[in-house]
Amino acid sequence: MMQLLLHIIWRDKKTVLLTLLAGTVSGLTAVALFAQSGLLISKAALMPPFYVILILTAFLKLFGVTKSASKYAERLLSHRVTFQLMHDVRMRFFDKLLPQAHVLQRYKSGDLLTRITSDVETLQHFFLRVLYPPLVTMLVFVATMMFMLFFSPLLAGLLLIGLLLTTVVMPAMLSMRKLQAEPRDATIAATEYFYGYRELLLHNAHQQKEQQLRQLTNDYAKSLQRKKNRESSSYIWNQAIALTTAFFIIFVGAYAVSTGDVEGVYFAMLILVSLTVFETAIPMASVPTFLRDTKRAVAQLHDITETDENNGSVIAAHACASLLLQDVSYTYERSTRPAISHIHMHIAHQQKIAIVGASGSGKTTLMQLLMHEMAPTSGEVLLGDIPLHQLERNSYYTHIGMMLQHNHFFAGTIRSNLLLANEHATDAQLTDALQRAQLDKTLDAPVFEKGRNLSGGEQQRLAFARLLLKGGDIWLVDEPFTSVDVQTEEQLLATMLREAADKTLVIITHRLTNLAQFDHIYVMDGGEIVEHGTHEQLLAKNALYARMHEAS
Amino acid sequence: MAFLQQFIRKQPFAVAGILVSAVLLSASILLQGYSIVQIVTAVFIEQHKFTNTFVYFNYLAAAIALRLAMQWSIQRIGGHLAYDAKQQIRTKLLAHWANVPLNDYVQSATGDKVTLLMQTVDELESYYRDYIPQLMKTMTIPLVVLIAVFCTHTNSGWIMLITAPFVPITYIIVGMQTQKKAEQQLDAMNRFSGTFLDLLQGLQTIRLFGQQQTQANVLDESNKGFTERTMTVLKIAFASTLFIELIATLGIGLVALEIGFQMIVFQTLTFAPAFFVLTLAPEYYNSLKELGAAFHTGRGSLGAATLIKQELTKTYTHVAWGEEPMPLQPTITLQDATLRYDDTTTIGPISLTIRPNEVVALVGKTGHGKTTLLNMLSSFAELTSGALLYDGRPRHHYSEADWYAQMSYMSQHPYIFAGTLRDNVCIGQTVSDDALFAALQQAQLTTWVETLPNGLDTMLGEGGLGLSGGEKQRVAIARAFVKRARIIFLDEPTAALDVTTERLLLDAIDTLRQHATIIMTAHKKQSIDRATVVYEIANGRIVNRKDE
Repeated sequence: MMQLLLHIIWRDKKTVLLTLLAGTVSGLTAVALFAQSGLLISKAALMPPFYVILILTAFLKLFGVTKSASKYAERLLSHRVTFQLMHDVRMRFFDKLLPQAHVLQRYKSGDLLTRITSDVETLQHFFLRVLYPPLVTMLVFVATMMFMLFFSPLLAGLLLIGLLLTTVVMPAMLSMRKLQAEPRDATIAATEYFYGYRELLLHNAHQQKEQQLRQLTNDYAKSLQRKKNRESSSYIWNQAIALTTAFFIIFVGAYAVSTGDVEGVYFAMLILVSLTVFETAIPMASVPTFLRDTKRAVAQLHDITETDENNGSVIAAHACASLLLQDVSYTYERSTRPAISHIHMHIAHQQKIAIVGASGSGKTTLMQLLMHEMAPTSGEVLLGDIPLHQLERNSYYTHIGMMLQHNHFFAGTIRSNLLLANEHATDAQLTDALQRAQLDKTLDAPVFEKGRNLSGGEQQRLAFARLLLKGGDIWLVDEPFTSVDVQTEEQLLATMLREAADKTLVIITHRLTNLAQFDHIYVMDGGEIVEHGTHEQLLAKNALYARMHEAS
Repeated sequence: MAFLQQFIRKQPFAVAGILVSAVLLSASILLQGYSIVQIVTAVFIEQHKFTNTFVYFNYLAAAIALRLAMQWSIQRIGGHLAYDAKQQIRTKLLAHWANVPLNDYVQSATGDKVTLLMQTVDELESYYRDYIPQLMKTMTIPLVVLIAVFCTHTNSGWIMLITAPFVPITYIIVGMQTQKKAEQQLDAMNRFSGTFLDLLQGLQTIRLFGQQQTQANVLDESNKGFTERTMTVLKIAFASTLFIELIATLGIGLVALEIGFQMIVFQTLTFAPAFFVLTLAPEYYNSLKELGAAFHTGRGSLGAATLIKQELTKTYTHVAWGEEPMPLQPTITLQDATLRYDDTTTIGPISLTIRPNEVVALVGKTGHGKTTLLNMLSSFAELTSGALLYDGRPRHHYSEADWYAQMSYMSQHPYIFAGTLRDNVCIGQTVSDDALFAALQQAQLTTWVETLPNGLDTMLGEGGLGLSGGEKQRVAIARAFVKRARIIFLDEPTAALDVTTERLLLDAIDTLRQHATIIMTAHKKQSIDRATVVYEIANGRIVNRKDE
């Protein structure tokens, strides 16, 4: 991934090189500016002809303007490189994450939020504060040392030591300091606290949880304080090296002047040069911290994006194929027992199938497998004669329409949530879908995060309107109308059956009324299919289905 | 500004500490310049022996040590100031949110609250850590340096004094522009992270609807907008530093030129004072410039400060409570009660009385106000007009804690915390294993618990075991049993359940009703069968009352 970052940055070679050039020029002109003024007063002390002063002053102005202008260019260019990098990284990351919707099931969503936003934000330092400062510092120092060599190889040598200490020794030493784990708990705890607030209040546990949260933010703030302190202490180390190097340059220089090895007139200039050149090295102080942050962010992002999803290549062209489950079992990652085991099912084209059973009997798991949200632990789900895992996902999704048990709605409006299903639909079509779904809302009515301003029944009807707009050849529907009243439920189910006349329909339902209209009913219990047949057949059997029917 | 400053008033010693360190820092700068000048003058102009300069090298070493020490102390104190102020603000925010009525909790996105509490507050760091100390340094160092320069060479002092105001003027002019932009940027960032979370939570939906490309475009767009805004703010910031650098270099250039003239043409200045002024000039301009850098981060913090202030000044209709102990299982009465929300919808006026141990069902079509009526009865919202009485006395006399201690509320989607099953059932209470098992038994969860890998200590919720709707509902029932609730509100309890779980739940209600008043919204015959009183709600009013 580091290579990837370098690769993205290097794509815009010209800007990168120009940034380096501008940075070096601005560093060198700063040095030159002070060299000039040091030389100016030393010469002045020796009573030179007046024109010498004029020339030196002219140079002084030139350096001053060049320094400021190149600094401006450097800043602008380096940030441009960085923002381009950020944009590319965000898009790449989103693209990578999209095919793995169930990542969210593995990570805490609060954690994911911090990870993605803050880790991606961290990468903005990669060029600006990790890659770029050492390069510029080296270039400026090397040029300054060349200049110093004319006057005294010894002083140039001292400067080299200073350079090595700042760019190599100090960063290496600071990197070796033990890294403390950054507490992410605070953000997770905050997310939980706000989502579960009602439950906490009802159990008088909100104060305790708030106390806990406050403690966690305290710890978080403390560790942030330590981190920032460490960052600023490296600035002090940096200054210590700069001032100590200057001290020795002055010491050795004074000796050399007193012995006549170095001309006295250049002494002030050399001192000012050695003091100024370290200003270029100030950003070096933060390199270790930013390098470490970058590395960690890269590792974490890598962690998430590397769990690669296998996507097949066969395009699902057979819209009217049947669905087949062959000896399918599925066991959840953290579970000890299979959620469903040894399921056989044949769903012919345009058949209407109902799956019934108690909560926890495996109905929803079965549906997730049919939706190709996950792959069976053993056995195979086939569309026609092609196993789902060989299919190109999106081509499969274009054929199916679905209603989940918990449908996600995006913050926005009713319209924006409907357009998700069919972005080309006209307002008339959207309104028509709402009408058929019996949802009495305007297209511009607001929808809050997770649709929390809609009642359960409204959410289900909105999801149904979405299904109507989406169309497709196979409808997979999980407990569609549990939150609407009996009358409406019956009407909506009738609408669904009518709309699905030419489609394959698989519905999970808890209500055993109206099931006579279905072609085939599967009764699940404990992850297995215990009975199946038509409504009449099952009633005649007088077993589990008949008992459930009686109770309803 | 005043909003942010109030949080450092509690730390007068820290502020004084920074000031003292800044004065000593200025002294070290003068000493450093003085010793360097003495050394150079000694070997260059007066051509002394090398050993004669040793005393000045001692001074130089002392100056360097003092300089480093004072910088260290200023940084540490600044860090402490930032930590303290940020935590004060976080505490304030949490206290503020704790007063928001539950009904309004739905109105704001959770992601926004999290961002405000964590990230936005962290944005204030630089105000306290960098800006405040830098402000004090800038108040001392240039002043001390300027006095020293005036004492050495008056003309240079004048040049420095006259050029100096241009630096703050530039900041003020540019700063006014930057502030607005910075606020916009911060706002954009808040919305950006909200969009991102929303997109991530809906990944499955995005994928199933084949909306990858469209949503990627949405992200691309908001990404670009975000970059664009940040870049605009930065451009202004960089332009202002450009001007300030020019002013600084111009100032130093003028000083150098003037010194040169004085030395050669008028011969009124010798090398030593000239060099001294020249070493001090950059220190003078640098500390003015550094204020600029801090000023910009400080301004950035102001954007964050505005957001926080906005949140803290938001007013909600608080649910009013008092101090008196509340009787157990009171009679609940609504008198001509109305509740207005969204500025458009009004529920009521409704009058009804619910006596202890009644089982009340509120029925009616969805969207006609059943749940809102439930929220009015449960004090999750303050009434717009009318009154809510518990045992004939208005609610605002009674203690909030007493009310919540005896009531339980079950929604269709109970929240499962990341934690063990035990934590999730007990929520903060200490409960004996026997009582816990009894509650699990009554919620008919024991067989399920036996299949869990770690039994009661199995991790649930985010990052743990996922629960089905029925299992969540039964955990919620277990919570009510553990709590021994005396008044139980149920919002469509059996809506999402299959026949078997539904029957379990109804059995549980039968057990609960022996000691509790039950108020539920329902549309199923089975639930309504349990009710002793059924109210039919339409368009926010009671249209029919039926006693079973």
